[in-house]
Parts: sequence; structure tokens; C-alpha cells
Amino acid sequence: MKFRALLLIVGLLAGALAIRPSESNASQVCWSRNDALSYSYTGRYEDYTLGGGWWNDNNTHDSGEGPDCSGFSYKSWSLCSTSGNTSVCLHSIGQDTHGPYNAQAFRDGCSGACADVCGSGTGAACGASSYGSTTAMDAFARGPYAGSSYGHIGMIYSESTGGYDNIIEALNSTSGVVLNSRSYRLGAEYDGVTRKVWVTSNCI
Amino acid sequence: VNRTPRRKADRDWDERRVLEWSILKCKADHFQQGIADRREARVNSRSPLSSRALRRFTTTSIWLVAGVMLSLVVPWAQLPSSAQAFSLSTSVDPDIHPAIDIVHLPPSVLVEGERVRLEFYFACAIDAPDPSAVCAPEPELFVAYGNGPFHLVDLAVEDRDSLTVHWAEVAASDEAGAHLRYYIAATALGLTVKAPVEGAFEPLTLDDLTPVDVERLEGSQFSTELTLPWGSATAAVGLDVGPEQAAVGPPAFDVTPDGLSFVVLDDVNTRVLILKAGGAEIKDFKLPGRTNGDIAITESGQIAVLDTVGVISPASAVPVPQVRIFASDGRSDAVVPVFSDQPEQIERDLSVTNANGVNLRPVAEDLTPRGRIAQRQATEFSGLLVDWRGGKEIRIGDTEFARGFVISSRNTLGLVPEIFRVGEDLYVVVFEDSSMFRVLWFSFDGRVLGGGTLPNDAFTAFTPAGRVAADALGNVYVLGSTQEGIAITKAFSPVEVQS
Repeated sequence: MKFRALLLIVGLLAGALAIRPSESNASQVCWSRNDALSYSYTGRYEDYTLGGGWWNDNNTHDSGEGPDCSGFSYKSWSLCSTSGNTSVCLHSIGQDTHGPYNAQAFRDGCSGACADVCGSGTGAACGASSYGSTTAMDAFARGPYAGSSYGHIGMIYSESTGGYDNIIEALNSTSGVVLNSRSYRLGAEYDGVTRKVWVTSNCI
Repeated sequence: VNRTPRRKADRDWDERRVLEWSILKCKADHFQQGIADRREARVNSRSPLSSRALRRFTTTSIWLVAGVMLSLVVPWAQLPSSAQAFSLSTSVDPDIHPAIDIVHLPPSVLVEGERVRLEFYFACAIDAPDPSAVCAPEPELFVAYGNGPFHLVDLAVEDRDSLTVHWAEVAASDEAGAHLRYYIAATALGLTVKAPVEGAFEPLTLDDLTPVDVERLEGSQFSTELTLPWGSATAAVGLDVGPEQAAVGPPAFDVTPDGLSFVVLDDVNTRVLILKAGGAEIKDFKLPGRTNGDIAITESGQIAVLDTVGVISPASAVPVPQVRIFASDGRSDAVVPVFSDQPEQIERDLSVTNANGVNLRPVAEDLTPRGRIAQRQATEFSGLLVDWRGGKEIRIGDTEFARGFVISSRNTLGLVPEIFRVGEDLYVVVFEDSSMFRVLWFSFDGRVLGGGTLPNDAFTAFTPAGRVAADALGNVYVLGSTQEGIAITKAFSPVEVQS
């Protein structure tokens, strides 16, 4: 009887392995836009630190806390520390990591880990008629301005009234991470970018 | 090991049991052998090739196949995994920052008889160190018509490039002509949230919309009314700029009804500037901190500042947005909490419009602050509404006069930061695109009265509605910013309005 039970279990396991190749073969974790939305939502009301990466979820500005704009996008998109890697690398919100990309690097495609949206090509604005080309958790990134290497990136959280976007962004050291209606899609200096691969199949 | 000495009687009893067991075992083996012999004889009589090994192989195979078959019916995907264990954050507020955010932009202007698509998705305030925690609330959409009861509507689910969107298409009115009301509920981990928090969304539903056909919006002169450089001097405005952050300057301004004076929310310098056109007679007063918000000159001449950064208070686990009301000399008259998610715009009647275009009244008619519950009950679509439908068709609603317009154009008109009504009959709509603002003046019967353009310089981030204002004559003003500073430009109304 024990032998038969053993056989049954062996068969069960063999069957499970055979019929679940899409899940069991998965070498990476799922990361959908919904996951990224919830992740970014935990950052709201937290602080900003240039080059920073960690935050908690207590809605106050704590000492040393906060991501900057590009670190916030990097972690919300669960990108990996190796430039150009499109895999999912999970980071807890308390993990102090910024990632290899600044806003300019996001705008330029994250060395292949990000893709252009709006069909405008890398480095070109989306414009007023681009609404149908973007989805929540796409982002608008701007390159250098004011004759320096300054840049900025904010992610689309939702559609706002009047055709604007609600953007979740690490704004600056005074305001921290905020959710605001913005016109970034119109700005000639902004370009629409997104995570190149959102992982929702062949994953665990 | 300590062993207790056993009595002889016990040992005898044990030996007797062993003997009995041996006899029984022997009988059983004999019985089993008999069965086996008979089976073998039966099998041998059918197949001369069969053997004990073959039978064992067959039996083994049957059990293995049974295991595989069983694996087919096991719902592997529904089995719990450690990655799904999480809880919802307690650092939330049901009105300002809900634990489950039902992300939904409600339609605001509808036509009786049409069908409207309602769609929404979720974000969760997940309190889990494991970022792979999955939040998938159970959604419900409840619809009613007029004063009728709410009933549950089936929802469809759509995967939009890995964004899970729930949606349903419902009628704007029922057969009796009663108008749509609805709310959305979502449940996860035993918590149910609702949007709106109290009551229901009630779009302005009309039997018809007046068409406004726009070919080109050009003409009308514009002038520069005011310029200020960046800085912290009295005649300057603050600029906060640096690497990996947004460039921030004044997010908003407003103009007096006579068009002769401006108030500028100089957020970086935490003050309000009061200026005459041309920059003369500059006055200022301090604010307690940055607001990242909006400013308005009220109907009674006070200055109202919407502080969206908010303040920590015992009333909430998140910073509570404020409306700060000042006399024209800067004396603080009142501070009113705003219990709303994403308040964006302060109106001249002290109502606040949020990012969904929904209006709430944090201040009662007698200017006393309303509490949280009273604010929920005073939340509705009211005043002038915009229902933006892709840029080529834009619906405008006016709840006060129960009017609706549909502005259409062959070309994309742009985003709509602000609408104004001047008097009872003149409407002004401002459109924004990448390079300019377009202004449309039209009458209550849909006649286009004129158009104009203004430059769109946006070196810094603005509150969309905060950078556009109009005076009592229908002239439109836009706040812009460049690397040098800010400028307020004016587009002249083509219509003579009795002031």
C-alpha cells in the first residue's frame, strides 16, 4: 500500500512538472503595471533625497529617507542594477538602492531596459493627441535643462480631468513624493518611456 | 535509558500475542498465496506471455498514470504561495489616501439614452516587506437611476498591456428618463472601500448638447502684463531647480475681476505676491510653508491658498490638505482642512475641485469649516465641468444653468486646464498643447465668438488650472516660465462685456 501511495505521489509530481512548464520554468517574478502602481503608492507623502533609494510608509519626511525621481521610477518598475537588464529585480521599499539610471538615461531608453512610448521616438515629446498611446505606469522623462545635466522623470498614475495626467513623482526635497496633475506629455523636453518588458506570464 | 522491570505475567501475555500473531500471519499468507495463485492461473490461462514482473510493471504504471491524472485536476494557480502574503498599510486615510485606491475618472457630462463606459483599476497601500505581494481587490459596481435602488452590474476585465482594468458599459439614463448614479466598491483582506466615499457619482446628464464647431482658433492679440526674474527679492519669484528633480517655481496665480492686479503663489519663497499689471506696487505676505497648490481671489476679495502638501494633524494618518484664507493685507482669516484625495484647484467661491473634476465645499455658506463627514456629503459635480474625450471632442457642462456643449474639431484642440463663464451667456475655454494655449470664446447658444493664442512656456512645473485665469471681462491670462523668470500674458476677449 505504501508503495502504491509512493507511486501516486511520484505521478502527481511528474504531472505537475509536465503540465506547468510556463510557471515552473519561470526564472523571474511577475511584475505588472498594477504591481508597480501599488508599489509607487507606498512612496506617496515620503521624503526625497538626491541619489537616495529607501523609504518607509509612515507618510512623514524622515531623516535621510526618500528616493530621487529616477530612483523612485527604478524601484517602482523593479528594474535591475545591471544596465539594460529587462528582468524583474524586486526591491523592498526599505532597501537603499537607486539603480544605474538617471532621468536622462531613462529618457534615452535605460540602455535597452526601457522603451519609447507614443511612437514619437526616443527623445521626442508625446503631445496632446498621444493619450491613447500611454498607459498607467508609463513615464515622462526630461533630459538636461538650464545648461546642466539636470533632468526629471515622473510616472503616470492615472488620467486626470481635462486630459492631463496624474503623475506620481519624487518632486524635490521640500515636497517629497507627490501625486499631482501635470502637463508633462506636452513638454517638448519630455519624452514618454516605459519598462520594456512588463512580466505577467512565464513568471511566478 | 531507564527501563521499568516487567512482570512475568506481562511477558507471558506478550509471548502469547506473538504466537497468536504468527498463526494469523501464517493463515493470512496462505490465504493471500491462494488468491495470488488463482489470479496467476487466471492470467496465465489468458496470456501465456504474462509473468509476475509484467504484472508489477502494469500495476506500477497504473498508479503512476493515476498520479498524473490527479495532477491535472489540482488548481495549482489557486494554491497559496508565500509571495501573496501581505497586509494593507494602516498609514492611510479613507478620504485622502485610501488603503485601496479605486482609480477612476468619472464621466461628468452625459446625454440621455447614450451608453457610457465606466472603467477603473486599483492601487493598494501594501504594508509588506515583500514587494511581490499581489493586491487584487474584488470589485463591484452599483448602478441606480434617479431615486431608484442600486443594483449590481456585471464587470468585465481587460488586460491593457499588463494593466488589469475592470469595466462595464451602462446607460446614461433608463427608459423613464431617470439619470445615472453609481458607485464602486472594492474588497481586499476584509476591508471594503468605496468611491465616492459617500453617496454616488452623478454626472450631469442632459437631453442634448449644444454643438460648438471649431475650425481654427487664431486671432486676438495678446500682451505681456507682467514679468519677474527668478530670485528671492521682493520683485522676484523663487526657483527650486537641481539634478533629478522637477524645476519648481510659482505653481499658480490669479487675477482680480478688473484685470488690474495679480496674486502669485511664490511657493519657493513661501509667500504670496500681490502685484499691479506691469509690476508696480508689489506687496507680499508670508505663508507657513510650501503648498504645491493653487491660489484664488475670492468673490469677497480675500485671497485663498490651497495647500496640497498639507499638515500633519491628529485627524489623519496622512498630511491633511488645507485652504488658507487671507485678507487682502495678508492677515490670516481662516484655515480649513480639506478631506479629499488630490485637491487641485481652489475656486473663487471657496469650493475645491479635485483631480477627478469633482467639486467639494470645505467651507459652509457662513464660512465656517465643514467637518470630514459634512465634506463628504458636500461632494458633487457642480459648476463648470469638462469631459475630455481625446482632444477632438470635448464636452462642457454647466450645472447652474443645466447646459451642455460639445466642442468638436477636425484637429486636436489640446488639453483643457480651465473653463470660465462670464456673466450668464459667455463661455471661455482654454486649450493647451505643446507650443501654445488656444482660447475659445463662445455664446450659450454655441456660436463661436472668437479665438486667440498665447505662448506656452513651461520651464517649471505648474498646476494646470492654476496657471490660467480670467477677469470679469472675459480676458484670459496665462502664467509661463522660462530660464529667466516668469511672465503673465493676456489674450483679449473679442466680446464687449458689461462689467
